[in-house]
Amino acid sequence: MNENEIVISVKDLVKVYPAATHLLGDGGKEKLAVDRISFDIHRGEIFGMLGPNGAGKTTTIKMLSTLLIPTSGTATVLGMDPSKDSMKLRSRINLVSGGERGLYFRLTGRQNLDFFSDMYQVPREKKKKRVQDLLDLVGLTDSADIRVENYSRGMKQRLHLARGLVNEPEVLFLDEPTLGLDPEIARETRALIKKLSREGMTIMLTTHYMFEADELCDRLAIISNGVIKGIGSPYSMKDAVRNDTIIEVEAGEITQSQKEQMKALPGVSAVSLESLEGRMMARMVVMDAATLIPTVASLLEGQRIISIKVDQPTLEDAYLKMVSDK
Amino acid sequence: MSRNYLGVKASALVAMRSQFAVIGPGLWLLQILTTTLFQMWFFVLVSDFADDPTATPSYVALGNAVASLTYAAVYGVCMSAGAEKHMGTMSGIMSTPTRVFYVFLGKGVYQSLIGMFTVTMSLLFSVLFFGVDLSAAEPLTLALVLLVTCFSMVGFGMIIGSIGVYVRSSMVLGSIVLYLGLLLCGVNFPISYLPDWLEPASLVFPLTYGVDAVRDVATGAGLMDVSGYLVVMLLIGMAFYVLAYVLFSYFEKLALKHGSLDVF
Amino acid sequence: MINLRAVKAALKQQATHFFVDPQWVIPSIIAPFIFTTVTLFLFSHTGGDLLLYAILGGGVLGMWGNTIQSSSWSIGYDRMNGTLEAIMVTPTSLSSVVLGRCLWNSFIGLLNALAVFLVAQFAFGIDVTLRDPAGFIIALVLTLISLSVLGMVFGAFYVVTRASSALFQMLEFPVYVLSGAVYSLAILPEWTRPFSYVIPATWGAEALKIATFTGYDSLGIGYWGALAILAFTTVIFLALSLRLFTYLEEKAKVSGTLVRY
Repeated sequence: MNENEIVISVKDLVKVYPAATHLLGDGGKEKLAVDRISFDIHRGEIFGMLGPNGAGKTTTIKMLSTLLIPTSGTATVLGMDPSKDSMKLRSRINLVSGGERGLYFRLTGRQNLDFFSDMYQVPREKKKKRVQDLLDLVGLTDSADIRVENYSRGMKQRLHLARGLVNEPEVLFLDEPTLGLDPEIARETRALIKKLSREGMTIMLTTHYMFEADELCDRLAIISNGVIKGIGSPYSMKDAVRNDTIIEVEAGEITQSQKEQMKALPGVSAVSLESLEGRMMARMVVMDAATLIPTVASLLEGQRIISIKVDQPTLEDAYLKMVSDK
Repeated sequence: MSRNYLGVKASALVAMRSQFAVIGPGLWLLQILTTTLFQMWFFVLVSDFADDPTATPSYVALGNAVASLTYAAVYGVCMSAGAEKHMGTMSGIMSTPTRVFYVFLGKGVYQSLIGMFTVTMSLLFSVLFFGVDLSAAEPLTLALVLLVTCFSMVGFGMIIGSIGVYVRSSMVLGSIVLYLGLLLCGVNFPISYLPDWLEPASLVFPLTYGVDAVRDVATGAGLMDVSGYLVVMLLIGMAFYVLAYVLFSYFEKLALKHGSLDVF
Repeated sequence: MINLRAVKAALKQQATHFFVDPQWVIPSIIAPFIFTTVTLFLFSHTGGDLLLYAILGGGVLGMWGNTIQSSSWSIGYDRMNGTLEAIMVTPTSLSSVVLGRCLWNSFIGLLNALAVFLVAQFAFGIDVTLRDPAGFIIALVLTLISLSVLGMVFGAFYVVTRASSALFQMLEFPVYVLSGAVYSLAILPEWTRPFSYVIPATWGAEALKIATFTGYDSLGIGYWGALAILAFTTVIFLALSLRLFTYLEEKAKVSGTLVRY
């Protein structure tokens, strides 16, 4: 296995959704979902796309997995163009989307996997064993012959993953794989993803959970409003805020306009606002905390200030800084 | 969470059929009118081929025109329950202080308007294309007969709809009553053709009286001549509403108890 | 384009769904059942061959009723279920999946013929004898395939939108009328003939009638003639549906409406 081999290459990729014109459609406007993004993914890598909802993550993953045709730019997956060689490419990739939907609820787990094996033309002599192996892998052997409607949330998610592996894909796309899962199941899912990666599979995933990106990804791209704001390892991302400091202010009340005022201060690159029980917390990414603290305190005059702390930046702050429009 | 998915997992037909009740009025009307026209045409051709002395093509056409009321008045009303369940809005309605019965009564009024419009159009089809002669009919009497027929049929639809609040296969029931009238109510042939054991069943359907009354009106019968039919339809109609009210309350309680509200 | 293994898998899947919830076939075959039963009553006063028309037509009506109601919805089900994306990302064409499901649905529509046959036997006590049983079976299988293919044509539109179901359901009765399944084609008005001729089921029903009734040949084309036109029109519709799938899939891949419910 050549770890430097580029498996996915994206250059200046753009997706504009046309205004709806179909029968009984509801009209609408053109929407720019992905705006000239470029990146490469190497064999065996876990590559993450991190960004808020509507940032263009899913659109990107769909373009790479042959489900959407890009408006312009180029994409190559395993040396093929997903929009032209889709049928050939599809047998070598797979896509798993998070959430509970996407399985036949009236069929058993095994029947689901059987059906999809047939869709992938898995050689008949191998099919039975492969389905069993996958059930073992995701720990569903005991409930393989129960209908999916009776599965728990976590079982469904594991079956999803098994479904994504029936064709032994070289590249696996995971769209929000832990969306809505409870922490325990999400942890199991991440463990499984790491295991697959160790076995040499190239994985591209999207997430909007910071810690997930930090824990799983070899490299990640931060995307916001269809534009990539930064690419690198989680470590190097943190590097982007190495020279910054964090001011964390807790007060009884911090208004939206006060947040904007904070953001406008010199040397402030991002501000996030969070409501806690009965109080608010602002987290500011700044160049020089010492000189800013008095200004921030005076800005909040009249509010009940609970604490002002200085902190070390985290990946989340790096993310915040990158997606911040300032 | 799994409750939602019980909804999703339910057969495709449920959703598809529910759309009848949730699609806009334009498409709903178009659907009723094309269906009625082709249904009428089909039976007219069958009767033409059968060459039956009683069930002549115009006999069949008039019967089908009146039967077109079933779509909105019975099926439309009854399917609203299924649609509510599919859309997951049933518990929303149930949690409001309004009794479900009244919500459905509102739907009944809406579907009655659609029913009256479609039956008028269907009668027009039957006159224009299939040789039905309404020249002897008194317009006001005809209108009154149709209105009373519609009233009692909505009541019938509400009963089926009330069951729909609770049982999973309300859709199956709804589609059966949609077409059963064509067989049992003297729409395509006199009920005397039915086997003896099946004849009483036709008496439960208000459509049976409506079709008979319209046939009489078409041959020139006045208001007094058909008053018997009108009284019967009003009486069973009212009995249906009372029964529907009781059933709605009962199933409402049962559904809340067993949590089968938004479950198919 | 059509992959037989996928067709078989989809057929099996649809069958499994059917056996889990058999009652859901009722909404789809209730109309053909009542229609053919009414026909039986109307024909019973005339008797003779006419009763056979009702049973035979009942099969065609049942297959079409269940095809248009269930099959055209096939993709809609995946759309609702969230499985459309999972199917789309496989190297199997969507048309193979839809064809497999349509075949099963048409087959189940034959339940109607069985039901009508039982009514005919017990309520009217008629004996069914076929002139040419082997020819009847061949014609039946081909009619089944042709109706499934017609179902595929409409099924393709669900790739783009789910709103199509309300429109396509309106096509159930026109085919009942125009295919002449329960009566002789000769009684349809002249101007409707061209419409009848483009529906493969018309030729299927014709071949079935020729195989059933001694001396029947309303269009003078004979059993093999009817079968040949049936095969020809079916191939045309198959080609049309494959083109439609390709075209509409491409369209959906540009607009992004593929997996929106």
